Amino acid sequence: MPADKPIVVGAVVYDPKVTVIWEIIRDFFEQHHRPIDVVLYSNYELQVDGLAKRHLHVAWNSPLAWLDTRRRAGACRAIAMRDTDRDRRTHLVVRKGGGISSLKDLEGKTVALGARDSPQATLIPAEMLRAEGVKVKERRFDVLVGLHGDHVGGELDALRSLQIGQAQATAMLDLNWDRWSKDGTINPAEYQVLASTQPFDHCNFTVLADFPPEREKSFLDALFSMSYDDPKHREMMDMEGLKAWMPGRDTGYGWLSRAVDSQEYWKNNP
Amino acid sequence: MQPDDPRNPTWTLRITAGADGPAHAHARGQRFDVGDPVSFDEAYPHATALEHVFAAAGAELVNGVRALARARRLELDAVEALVQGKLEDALAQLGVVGATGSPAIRSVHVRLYASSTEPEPAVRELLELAQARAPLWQTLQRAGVTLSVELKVAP
Repeated sequence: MPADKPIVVGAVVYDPKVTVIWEIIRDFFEQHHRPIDVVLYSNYELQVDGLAKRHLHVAWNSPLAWLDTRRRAGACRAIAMRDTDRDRRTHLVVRKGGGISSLKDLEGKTVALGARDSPQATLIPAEMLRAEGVKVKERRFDVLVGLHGDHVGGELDALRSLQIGQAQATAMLDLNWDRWSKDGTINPAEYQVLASTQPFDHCNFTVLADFPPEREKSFLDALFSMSYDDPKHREMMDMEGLKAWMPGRDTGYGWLSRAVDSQEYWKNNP
Repeated sequence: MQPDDPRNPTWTLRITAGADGPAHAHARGQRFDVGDPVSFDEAYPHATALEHVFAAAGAELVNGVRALARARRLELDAVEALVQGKLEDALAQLGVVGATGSPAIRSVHVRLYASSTEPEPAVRELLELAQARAPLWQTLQRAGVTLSVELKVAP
């Protein structure tokens, strides 16, 4: 394939505003003479199909979509990710003074979780509780299943459930704890982090194993030239929540992989 | 072809696509710009085609109410509408893979504020008459779009 043919990049639209981000990214690559075509998907399952069937060259994958790509398409590579995709944690949050001071105190209690396909709000925290031998009643908020928790609606509903006393704990991504503590969604004087998961990685740009190295280099050279110090780039980087693009790695998906296995996720969600 | 019945005329507009910007619409001696069909970018610098439709639906009511009040010599200081519209499937408009719905308009909700010393039922009657006479409003209704109007009258 000639090097100047556009690289086809897939992305999932969890909010129509995502299209604005991808228009900026497409323009950015165009300006760097590395044209890309962006194909938008309504859910990750279809995007993984698109990559496996080679309708796409590169997919902007959630962590669960990354595992699904490996399961369905075989060998693949994570070639880039945001700085903020690395070493994330999920917090289990409880009400202060509610009599819960350790994970063991949650035994038999209700824990509010996000959508069933959310790595951060459901799969990984449930795996942590399982690994610690703590049996809880799960109260799940399956908002917009298929978006793998990118839409934080389920996570937010789970928090509301804690706040109105329907649950004794809830799970949320560390970044959301920080954001919601600042914007008033959570009053940090009333709630606290009970425990945190081990670090895990979030989204990545995925390619199949046989994606030509020169095409990959062309894509990454342009991507890594994006600089937060450049005001023209900063707008998009703020919208997408990063300060720098980093090389991809596949070492941060162990906890999710164990969660998917122990919860028989693919069997229950074929 | 039969000549147009002058009592039921045809409206003719000319719309030219801009090279890299909004379309230019010409109606009678007037010209106005219409942007993309839909935009989700808060910073997009033009009113979209969809926003023109929602604006037109609201304008039919506020201008209709004002004109009727004038005709009936009713006191009306100000009229303003807040219009909220939704599509059936916004992602279908974007051509998102897997978005199988229709980009048609699902609903239009109007909250109409009228500043008037007239009794509320009198203003409501103006509003209902304005709705009944509004071509776009009636067309949306006939097409099955969910339409709703709230009226708030304050002196």
